[in-house]
Amino acid sequence: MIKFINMDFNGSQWWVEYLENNEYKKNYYDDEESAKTFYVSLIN
Amino acid sequence: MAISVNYNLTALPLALKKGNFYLGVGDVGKGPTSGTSYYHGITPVAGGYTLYVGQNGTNQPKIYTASSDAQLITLTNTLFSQNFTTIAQCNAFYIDKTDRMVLNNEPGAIVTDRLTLCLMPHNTLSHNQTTDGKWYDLAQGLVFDYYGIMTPLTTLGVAKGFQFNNSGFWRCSSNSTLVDLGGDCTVVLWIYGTQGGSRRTIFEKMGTVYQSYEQELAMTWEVGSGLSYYSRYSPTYDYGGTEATVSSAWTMISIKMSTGKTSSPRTGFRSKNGNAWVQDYTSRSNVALITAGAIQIGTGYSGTCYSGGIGTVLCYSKMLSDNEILQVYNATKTYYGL
Repeated sequence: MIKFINMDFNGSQWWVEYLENNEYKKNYYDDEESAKTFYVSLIN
Repeated sequence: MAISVNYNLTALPLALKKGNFYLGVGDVGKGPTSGTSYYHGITPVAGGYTLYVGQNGTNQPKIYTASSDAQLITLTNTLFSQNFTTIAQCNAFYIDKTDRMVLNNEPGAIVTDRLTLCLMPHNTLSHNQTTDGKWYDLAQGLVFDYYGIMTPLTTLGVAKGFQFNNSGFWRCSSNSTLVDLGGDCTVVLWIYGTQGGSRRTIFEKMGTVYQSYEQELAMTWEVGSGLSYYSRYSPTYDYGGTEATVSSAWTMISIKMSTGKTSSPRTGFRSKNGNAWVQDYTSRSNVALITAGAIQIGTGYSGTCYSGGIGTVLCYSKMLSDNEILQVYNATKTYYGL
């Protein structure tokens, strides 16, 4: 099971935090669109 | 039931206020009795107004009624020697006065114990119903200014609210510490519609050292229209969630949290439309939070809202009980068509 937690821009990259199998993970992206695409895949 | 009204130059607890008027709308102890010195008000007629004018030396204001915009214009011109021709001029005339107020809707019998913020866009005590850029808090007198292109005050579904437009938002930069969301607290948001497809922050206290979601509180409207809410920083931020808002309708979304000012875990709960609280919060921090800055509505770290709208906003410096959140819902739901 994957649960979205949060996303933001850290000054150089966009990150998306999520919980997968009780483990917190962060994906990093160079552009906002890629982060949003991943976010939407998690939230839907 | 009509509200009870007291015109007083000194502060009174457990009441909403506008200038020197105190409205005993909530807790029953402020009803009109010889002990409270409150007086019976008059329920404004549909589409009409009640005008209260303070009298020095008495707690009982003079009360007038107007059944239409035209009557209020005439009444205002007669009483105060004005030459107004529009209702907008009248509302603008009353909004910042301390010794007179015009009421178009009763605020409703909300819980007022430890109420720290009370914003009602549809109410002439809180907003002048025109394009004015001030939104007045009826709990402590905080003033919100708009930024960007004004979120229009418009009828959304059955009730007036500020319609999000991807530009305008509201911010209170002065005295925002009076709305403490770092201790025990409750936040109530009447939200219109659904989120629109891209996550945006709908309510937050701005970060001063860290991001907003790492200090007192940030609430973000997610795709799917549930809200996420966040608080505290170290070793990492806490998070929780709410149920979704409803398409083309108003939804009362509430959260409450225990204090985050100690090393103990913060707890959080959600409620939709006055239903009993459900715990929904994951604490990952064991360090006391840092006090946050300005209050923002309709914008924040994840961008400015562009879909739906915002109505009544309430904050409390305590965790409301199941009965209290139901009281708030019952006192406000009729206006929002529920």
